[in-house]
Amino acid sequence: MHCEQVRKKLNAYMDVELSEATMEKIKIHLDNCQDCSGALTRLQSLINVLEEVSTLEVPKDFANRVLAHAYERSKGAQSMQRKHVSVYRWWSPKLLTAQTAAAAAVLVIGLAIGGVMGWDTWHNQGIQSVGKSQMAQVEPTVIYSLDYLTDAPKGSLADTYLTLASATNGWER
Amino acid sequence: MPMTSDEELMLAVGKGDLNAFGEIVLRHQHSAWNIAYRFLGNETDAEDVVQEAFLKLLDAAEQYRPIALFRTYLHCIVTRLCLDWVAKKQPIYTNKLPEAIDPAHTASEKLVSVERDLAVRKVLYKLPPNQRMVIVLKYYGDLGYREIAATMEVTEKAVERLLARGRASLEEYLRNFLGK
Repeated sequence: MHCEQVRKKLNAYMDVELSEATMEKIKIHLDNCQDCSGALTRLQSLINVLEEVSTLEVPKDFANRVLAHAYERSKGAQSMQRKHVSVYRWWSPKLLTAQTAAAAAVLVIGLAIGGVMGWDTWHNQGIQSVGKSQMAQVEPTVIYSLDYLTDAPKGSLADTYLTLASATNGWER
Repeated sequence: MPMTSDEELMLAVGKGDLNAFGEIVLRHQHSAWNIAYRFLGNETDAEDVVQEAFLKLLDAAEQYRPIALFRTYLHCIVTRLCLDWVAKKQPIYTNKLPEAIDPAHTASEKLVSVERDLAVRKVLYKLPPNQRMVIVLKYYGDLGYREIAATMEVTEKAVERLLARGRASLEEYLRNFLGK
């Protein structure tokens, strides 16, 4: 093995991440090459420095804080699930059928009431129109209760008012 | 009585067992925390990311299928969140260091150790995110090439290359500390 090949694999060699055969070849090279074995020594001292760095302790109560959040989340999820279930129940097929039937019944009742009321209105309109035709034959002064003025002497204030009202409304006298 | 496996616990979480989720958090908080803190460089961001990772795990528990090691699955979530985090936000580096943990060390040893820790953390942030993540997973997540590749969704060859480049840069930056 050449130095260049060994240098490329030196990291994996130190981490024992190579096949046994390759490890053996590199070992033989290192035993005979000062430069490469020097590189390995430097690498090893770096690893020592990295590994000697003191361990970090997890903050006190960290696990409790995580669990408190977990319980909160779990409660939230349960209430969401309940909401989901209630919405689902509202739209469940059975209830949907019952709701449709109820809505149809309300619609039919509404239409029936509307029909009756409409018939009544139409019928009254008939009566009213009959009344109108009958009223057309009545003197306007009678309709507007001014007939008591018809006997007023000519030239009186009442006669003048009646003459004016008749001229304005086109009544015959 | 044999300990319940992570995969079994996750299946229980999927059925709504929050005690199983608590067990998962206790078992894996340390490794998830170390990866996130080493990668992000500050406690606040690390806490947010690790918490989010566990909650994502909880949300996805119902769909979880034990086709791979649970550890890889969790590390994958943490890694993605960390990489997303730095893509959106420049990490805020803090000088806050963990307590020196070995009381047998002399004052000067402690000083060297604190200086070295600080230097390592500083130079780690100089690396591009992918190289930094590979180094973090290798040395602080204690993963092999195959697991790192699965976690980062790259090939093992790519892991080897990223590690080699990352180490070369670190060697350059940490020259003063090497051999101390």
